[in-house]
Amino acid sequence: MQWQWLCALESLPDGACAEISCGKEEGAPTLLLYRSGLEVKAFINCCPHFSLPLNSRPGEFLLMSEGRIMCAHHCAVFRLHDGQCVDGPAGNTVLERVHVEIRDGQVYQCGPEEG
Amino acid sequence: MNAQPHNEPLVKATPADSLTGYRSFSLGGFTFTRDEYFARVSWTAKGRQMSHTLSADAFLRAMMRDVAWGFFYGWVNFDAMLGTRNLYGKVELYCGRYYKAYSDQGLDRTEVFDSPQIMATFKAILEDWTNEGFDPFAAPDETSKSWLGKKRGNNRGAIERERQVCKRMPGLAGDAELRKDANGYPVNRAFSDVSQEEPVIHAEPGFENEVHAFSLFAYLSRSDVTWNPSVSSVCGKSLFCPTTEEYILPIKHGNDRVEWFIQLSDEIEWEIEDKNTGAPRAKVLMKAGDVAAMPADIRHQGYSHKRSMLLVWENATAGLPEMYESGKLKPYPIEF
Repeated sequence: MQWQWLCALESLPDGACAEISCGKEEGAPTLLLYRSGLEVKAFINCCPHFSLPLNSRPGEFLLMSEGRIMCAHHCAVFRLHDGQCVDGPAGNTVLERVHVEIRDGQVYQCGPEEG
Repeated sequence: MNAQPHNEPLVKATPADSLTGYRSFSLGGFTFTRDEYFARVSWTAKGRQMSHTLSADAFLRAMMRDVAWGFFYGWVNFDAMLGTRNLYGKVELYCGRYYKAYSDQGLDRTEVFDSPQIMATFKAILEDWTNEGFDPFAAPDETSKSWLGKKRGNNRGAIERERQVCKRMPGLAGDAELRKDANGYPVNRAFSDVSQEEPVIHAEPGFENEVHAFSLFAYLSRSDVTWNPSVSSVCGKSLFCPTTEEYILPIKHGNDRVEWFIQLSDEIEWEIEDKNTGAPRAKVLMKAGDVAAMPADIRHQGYSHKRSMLLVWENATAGLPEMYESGKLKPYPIEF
């Protein structure tokens, strides 16, 4: 397995979301990071409704109460603890989860070895 | 980064009216009320109390699309006066802005709301004003006239129907299901002659999940809604959104990008107007097999004399509205 550094945990305020680049190719999707206490959830930043990013402006997300997020494009609402769509036009879909780990106060993405 | 979540938007509503049973709602400087026949939007301009009245069924059909589509692409005009513009994260609500007689006199009103706030209010209006038995998604022949009269129950099951989407294509493993009797999609009364045969696929071993096909005609013959595209293929930013249409598109859609229309069966008449002024620009009769590009600077409304099949081809590339607004892209795909 390969570990890719994403950000420092302290740079993510509790209850906040951040957008992190994760691919080198042009047009590669970004990651959506959400911190809840000492836990960080990460998802591919792509709404399953129209395969668009959840935000329309870089780094700006429509966070709602109870750990939910609304897609800025067509208002699909997802739970951030498991990515499940709970309202809006994306139906019974789920955000694609990305495995992350926190080590020594740093957030890493876990991915397969390259090559 | 978002440090604080939006507070759950509070919907401002009155108690149920003692005569009609309907609640009234306020959103910013707008007030929404309904009675047995009509929906009414009120606002203040230049110190004068203004209002605009729509038939309640037309209002509910339009509101249903705006809610189900999440304010869609660009402008959703309920009629020539009232509508919304999706600013993607925020939504503009206007009355009279694109109606010259009002806007020239400064008697129109436009306000911008956070998407969660206006969505919560619109859903509450739709839930309260839709009576039991009335389905705003259905063709008139397929639903009751219970939109009329005093409040009688609700129809949550109909108005909370999910728009059908897919990751790649319906019928693939782990993707949306194809429509069948067994999962609640009987063949529509207008499409009883459509073949239900599905293509046979012979994929090379190892490519079983890569090669797929289904009968789009059979899929559409089982559509249970009108004027409500579902997503039936996703290839990069290219989305095929087929739909079945009957009677009148309940809104005038103002594009913020080019939309391609492919008429798959029967006919639809389209009235095309200038997006900003509503001035007539064209009338288009699309017959089966016809293809049209709806420009990015128009609004359109369709009339389908019998249920017909239409493929709407959407370009979901991020940043398109800005490219059209700035003039970087022309509003039409080709020049003659």
